[in-house]
Amino acid sequence: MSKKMIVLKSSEGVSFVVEEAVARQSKIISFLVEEFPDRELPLTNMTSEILRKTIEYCKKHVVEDDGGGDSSSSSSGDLKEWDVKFVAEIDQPRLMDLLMAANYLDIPSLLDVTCQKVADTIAACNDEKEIRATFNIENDFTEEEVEAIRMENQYPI
Amino acid sequence: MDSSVDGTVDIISSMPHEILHHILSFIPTQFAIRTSALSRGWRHIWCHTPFLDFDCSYIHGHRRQLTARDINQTIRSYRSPKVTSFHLSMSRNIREHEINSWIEFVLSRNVEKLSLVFDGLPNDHVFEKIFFLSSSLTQLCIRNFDMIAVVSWKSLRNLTLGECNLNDESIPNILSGSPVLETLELDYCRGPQRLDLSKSRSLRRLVIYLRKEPTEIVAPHLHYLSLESFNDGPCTLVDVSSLAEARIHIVVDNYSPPLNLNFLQTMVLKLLAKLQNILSLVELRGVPFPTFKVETLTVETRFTRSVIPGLARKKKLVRLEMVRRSLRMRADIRIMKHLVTWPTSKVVLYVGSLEHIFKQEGMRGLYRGLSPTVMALLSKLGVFTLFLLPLFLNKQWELIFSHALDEVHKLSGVGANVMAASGAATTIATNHPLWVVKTRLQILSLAELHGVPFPTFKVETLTVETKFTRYVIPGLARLLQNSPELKKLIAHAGYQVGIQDRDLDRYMDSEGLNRDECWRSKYEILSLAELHGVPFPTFKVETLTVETKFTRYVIPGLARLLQNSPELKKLIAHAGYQVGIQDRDLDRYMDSEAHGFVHGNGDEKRKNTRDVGGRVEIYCYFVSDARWFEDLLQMLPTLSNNNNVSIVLKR
Repeated sequence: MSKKMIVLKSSEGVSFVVEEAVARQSKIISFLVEEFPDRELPLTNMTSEILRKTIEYCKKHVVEDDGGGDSSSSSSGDLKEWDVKFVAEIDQPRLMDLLMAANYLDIPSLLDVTCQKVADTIAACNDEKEIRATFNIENDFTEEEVEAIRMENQYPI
Repeated sequence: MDSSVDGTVDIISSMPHEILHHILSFIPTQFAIRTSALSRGWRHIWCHTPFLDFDCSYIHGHRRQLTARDINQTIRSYRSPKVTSFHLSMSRNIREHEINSWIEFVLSRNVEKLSLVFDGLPNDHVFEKIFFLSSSLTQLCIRNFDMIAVVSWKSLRNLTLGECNLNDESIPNILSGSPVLETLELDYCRGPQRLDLSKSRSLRRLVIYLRKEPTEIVAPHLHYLSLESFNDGPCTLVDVSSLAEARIHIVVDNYSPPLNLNFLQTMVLKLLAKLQNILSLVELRGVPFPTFKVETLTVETRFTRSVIPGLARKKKLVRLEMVRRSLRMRADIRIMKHLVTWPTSKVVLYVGSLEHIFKQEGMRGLYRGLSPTVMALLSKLGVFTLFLLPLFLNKQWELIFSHALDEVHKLSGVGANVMAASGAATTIATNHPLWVVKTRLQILSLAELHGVPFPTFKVETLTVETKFTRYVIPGLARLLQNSPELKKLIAHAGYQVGIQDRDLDRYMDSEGLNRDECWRSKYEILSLAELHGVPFPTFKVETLTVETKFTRYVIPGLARLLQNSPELKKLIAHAGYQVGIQDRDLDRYMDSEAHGFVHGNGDEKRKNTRDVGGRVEIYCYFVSDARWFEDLLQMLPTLSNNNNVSIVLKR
C-alpha cells in the first residue's frame, strides 16, 4: 500500500514531497489536491523554512487512518506537550510567519497553537511598552492620548 | 528582544483583524484591553474581539481583583455586535443583578459559548428567564450552581455541569429542553442515584466524574462514555448497549483509606461486563473471561500479575502471537501484542496505549503492579481503557498473583505452541520461541515466602528486567531452577523501579511477618544469601546475563553463582549506573547484623582486564566506585580454578 505523495513548492522554488494525508490537514491544499491532482502546488508566499516547519507540524499531527500496525499515534497529552515545545523553539519573527502560514493554508490547530503563543507573550508583558518592544510596534500616540486611554481603561493590570 | 532593536518589522500590526481577534481570544479580556494603548492601529482591536473573559475570582500576580465596576466599564466601551464566547468567574462580592445584566448583554449579542463559574458552594443564584430560553447557546458550562430549572436551549450541543446540585427533575428537564444536546459532562455533581439518559435521542457522549452519585447509569443511546471515579467505587452501568467507545479510569490513591478490595473488584467486574461488547474484560480470581466479538484484536498492555490470567484465558479464542518489542522504558513488561486474525477480515483493532498508562500511573504504577487490571485497549471502533491504580498491599494480593503465576506458566507454553503453529512466516520464531518477560521478580520472591508453587517456564529465552533488590534474588533463583529448558536469561537492573524495599517491609509488618527472618537474613542480594549459609541456587543455563550495579556485595554472590553453575558457558554482567542496592544501605544492614564482611580497601580505580580463558565474561560499565574491584580481582582466580571457567573482566 503505497501512500500518495504530493509536491509543495516554496517561494524559493524548493520542492517538498509530502504524504497526501499529511498535507491535507491544510484545507487549502486539500482543496487544491482535488482540483489539480498530480500537480506541483506552488506556495509562493511561504519560505522554505516556514514550509518545512509547517510540514513538520502536520507530520506530527497526521491521523493514521488504518490505525493498525506499529503506527502508534501519540496520545493527546503528548501532542499538546509537543506543540508547546514546537512553538517555544521558534523565535518570534518566524512564529509570526508560521502563524500567517497557518492562516493562509487554513490549518486551524496550527493557527490556534501559534496564536496561543502570541497571546501568552502579550499577557506576559507588564505593560503596553513591553508589548511594543516585544513586537516592534511603533507608538504613534502622543503622551496625552496614551494617558487618556489609560484613564479609559482603569484596569487592574 | 535583540531582533527588535535591530529594526525587525512589525508584523503583528499588519495582520488581519480576524487574526488579532483570534489571538486576543486566548487571554483574559483585561490583558486584551491593554493592546488599545499600543498604537492607533490597535486602538479598537480589542473592543471588536468577539470574546469576553473575566475572572474575578483570581488575582493575577500582584494585581487587584477584577470588580463589577471593571466589567461594567469594559462592557460600556465594547463594540462588537457579536459575542461568540463569554467566560465569567465570579467572586462573592458581585451582586446578582450585575451578573444577570452581563449575561443578558451577551445573550442579546447571541452568545454561543457561555461559561459561568460561581464562587464556592453551589449557588442559589436566580437567573433571568431569558437565560434558560436562549436559542443561540451551543456550549454551556456552569459550575457551582443548583441546576433545577426548566430550560429550552434549542441549539445547545455541549453542556458541562460542574459540582452542581441536581434533583430528580434536573436531567429530564435538560434533556427534554435541549433537543440537539450531544455531549453532557458532569463533574462531581450531587444528585439523584440514578442517571437516566434514555430520554435523549441526540445525546451521544457522556463524560462523568463520579462523586457518590450517581450509582446507576442508564444510557442506551450513548456512544461514548468516559467515567472517572476517585476513591469511591465506580457506578453500575444499567444499560449502555450502544456504547462503542469507553474510557474508565478508577483511581485509588495512596493517601485515602484503603478500599474494600472485594467491593471494588465486584464493582469493576460488573462494570466491565457491561462493556464487553466493546472489547475486553479482565479476569480476577476466577471470574470468567468474556468472549471477544472483534475479529482482530491487538492488546498492548503492561504486564502485571493481574493481566496475565486475562491474557492466558484468551488463548481459547484466538490465535496468539506475542511480539517482542524493545522499549526504552523501565523495568516492566511494556508491551504484549496479541493478534487475532479471523479469516474474513483484516480489521485490526489497535488496542492499547502503553505510554498513556505510564503517564496515568507513573512510576508508582509500574513498581506496584498490584492493580487488578491494567489494560488499555484502543480500537477503530472505540477506545476502552481501564486503569486501576495500584491497590494497597493487601492480603488478597498474593492470591491474585499466585494465580497469575500459574497462568504465566500456561501462557508461556501456549505462546510457544501457537507460534509454532503459525506457519512458514514465523519459522524463525518457531525455532527460537522467544518470550520476553520484563517483569518484576520481586513478586516471585514473595510467592516463595508463602509457599506458593513457582511456575515452570518453558521458554528458552527469558528476559527479566528488574531492580535487583534483596527480594528479587530468591525468586530469580527459583525461576531458574524451575525452568530446565531455559537457555538464556537476561536480567537487567532497571533504574529506580521495582518495589521499594521499604514498601515491602511495611507489608511484612502489616502481615505480622518478621522482616529479618523472612527476608533479610535469607534473601539479601546474592552475597548475603551466602553470608547466612543459605544454599545458593544452581544455574543450569549456559548463558546468563546479569546487569547489576557492582557493589562489593554483589561479587561474592556472583562468585558463588559461577561455582554453582557448571554448565554456564558465558556470564555477562553489566554494571548499571546508579542501580541496585546502595552500598550504604547494605553497610547499615551489615552493622545491624554485627557481621563482618569483606570490605574493599582500595580507592584505586583500576582498569584491569584479566583474561583467564574465555568462558565467563564480566563486563563492567560505568563503575564509579571501584573499591569492590579489588575483591573481585582476588576472587577471580579462585573462581576460574575451581570451576574451570574463564573470566574476562572488562571495564
